[in-house]
Amino acid sequence: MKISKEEFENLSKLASLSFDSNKENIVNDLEKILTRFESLSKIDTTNVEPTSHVTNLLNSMRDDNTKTILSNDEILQNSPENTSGQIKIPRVFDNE
Amino acid sequence: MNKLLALSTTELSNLISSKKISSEELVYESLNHIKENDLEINSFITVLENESLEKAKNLDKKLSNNEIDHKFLTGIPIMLKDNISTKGIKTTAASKILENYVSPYDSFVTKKILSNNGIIIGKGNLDEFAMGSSNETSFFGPVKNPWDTNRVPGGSSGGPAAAVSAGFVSCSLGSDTGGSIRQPASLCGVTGMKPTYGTVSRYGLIAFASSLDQIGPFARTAEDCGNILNIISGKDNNDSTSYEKDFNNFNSKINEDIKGLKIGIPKEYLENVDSEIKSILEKSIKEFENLGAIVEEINLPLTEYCMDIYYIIAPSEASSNLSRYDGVKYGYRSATKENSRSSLVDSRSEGFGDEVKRRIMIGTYTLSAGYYDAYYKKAQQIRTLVVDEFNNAFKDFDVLLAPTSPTTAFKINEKTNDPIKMYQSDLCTIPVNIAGLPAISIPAGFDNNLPVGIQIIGPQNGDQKVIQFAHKFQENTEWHLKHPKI
Repeated sequence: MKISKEEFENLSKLASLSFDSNKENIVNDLEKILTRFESLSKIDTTNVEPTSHVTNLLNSMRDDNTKTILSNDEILQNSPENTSGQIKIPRVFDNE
Repeated sequence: MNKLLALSTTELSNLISSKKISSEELVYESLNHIKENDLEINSFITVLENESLEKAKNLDKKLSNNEIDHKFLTGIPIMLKDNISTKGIKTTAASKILENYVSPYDSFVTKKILSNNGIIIGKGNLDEFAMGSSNETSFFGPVKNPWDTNRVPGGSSGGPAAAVSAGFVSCSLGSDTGGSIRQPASLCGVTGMKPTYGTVSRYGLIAFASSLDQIGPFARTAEDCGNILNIISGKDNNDSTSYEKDFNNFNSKINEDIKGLKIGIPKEYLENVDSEIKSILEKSIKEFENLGAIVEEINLPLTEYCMDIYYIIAPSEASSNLSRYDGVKYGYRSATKENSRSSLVDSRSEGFGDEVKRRIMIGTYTLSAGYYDAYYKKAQQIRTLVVDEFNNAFKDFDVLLAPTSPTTAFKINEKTNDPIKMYQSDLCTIPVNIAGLPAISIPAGFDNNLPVGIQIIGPQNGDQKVIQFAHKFQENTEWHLKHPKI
């Protein structure tokens, strides 16, 4: 199983990760791991429902009431940068 | 090790309840032992020294004035794996990206421990975001195995396992996504249990793979594990997958004998296992037969596919869960100031370690357009077949018995360059998470002075039976009473 350079770039973009130094290692590891998955095609899963969870619970619901869990200050306490009660981030749009 | 520190949580609880020892005395001994030996073992990321002593003194006073009732964990020091949120205390998941994160809230289990007057003595080291089988991916350095400090303690809950093994605490909480409680329990010679999925709320557990993650105890005995599960289990409105059991005592079967009950030995679990571990399993089988259990071999042919479907399902869920680390709301933010996109990418790339990035990339691939059906959906379909296979097995058997780990503790750095070899450390534990079953690892022997564990697996909500079998084994063997020389 080969991963092309373009495919790897696209994956990195989707994952919001960049790989500078050890790109070859990670491509190599990914190829080895994905190759292993090929054996799964041997198993016939026609008409088998996928299992997304294993609890057998149905409609685990609660009342849709609003409540305050954390105050604004508590939330901001871990933010890397904040100002006037709001989280500050680098600019989103380039100056045009 | 001070002899107090070699006792089980249940024994310590009785000593505190009968006022033969004080909580302060116990916490003091724990802290001394940690100070002397944890620089080498590295099982703690945070030690709460002053807070623990203060709390112990307070509890002692309240107990002697009869202001509070004694409960199982009252005055007992406990370590929580550092992916379990603790209000006002650093909760790092052993990642650079959360190095300075102080949780603003308590997890469900933290609240339960505190309301039972347990003493959180510190936070345990782990593989970064619980991704690993050797505790070598921690940003805070590897944990050493107390039986041989050149070797790994297993992972991902290496800190909680090593801390119980070394006698720093009598019990701790870990999390198990593919074996992260049971495998390190086996490698460190302690008892560790992953309950049925849904038994313990995941609220406040830093998410790795949500359909597999489950919190559970490490301790010296199966009875300890049951007593701790009695405290931390239950329905929580903040976790829609948690539910109330139709029983309220995990230990209610421990006095029933196992005569005539049936144990299945799944042959496939023995295929890639070291011969010494097989022979220890065989001796354990004899022990169970002496106790009157009926032991038969069975086949679970889908076992060989479980590792592969795990490495689709877990990274897929992880890639989604870990998208929240963006350097905006909390956690590490790169110094890059160019624009928010480069800040996002650089914060993640500088903040996550190699193994976490590898798994995010696998998960991104298996969930991406064009591959979803071939990988994620296919894995979830095979998951259905694995669940059916186990359900059929439990029509004939009360529990299954298998090795916990294919090897004993391996050397530090032995497997770090080969991810697939590392992933194979969890061959015997992964199927249990795939099907959401309860399983316990208990000490059953030694190979070259390194502990070997065996795993007892039960049907969904068969947690009491799992504990019953483990307890009977421990009543008749002494492997769980061995301690490393530390």
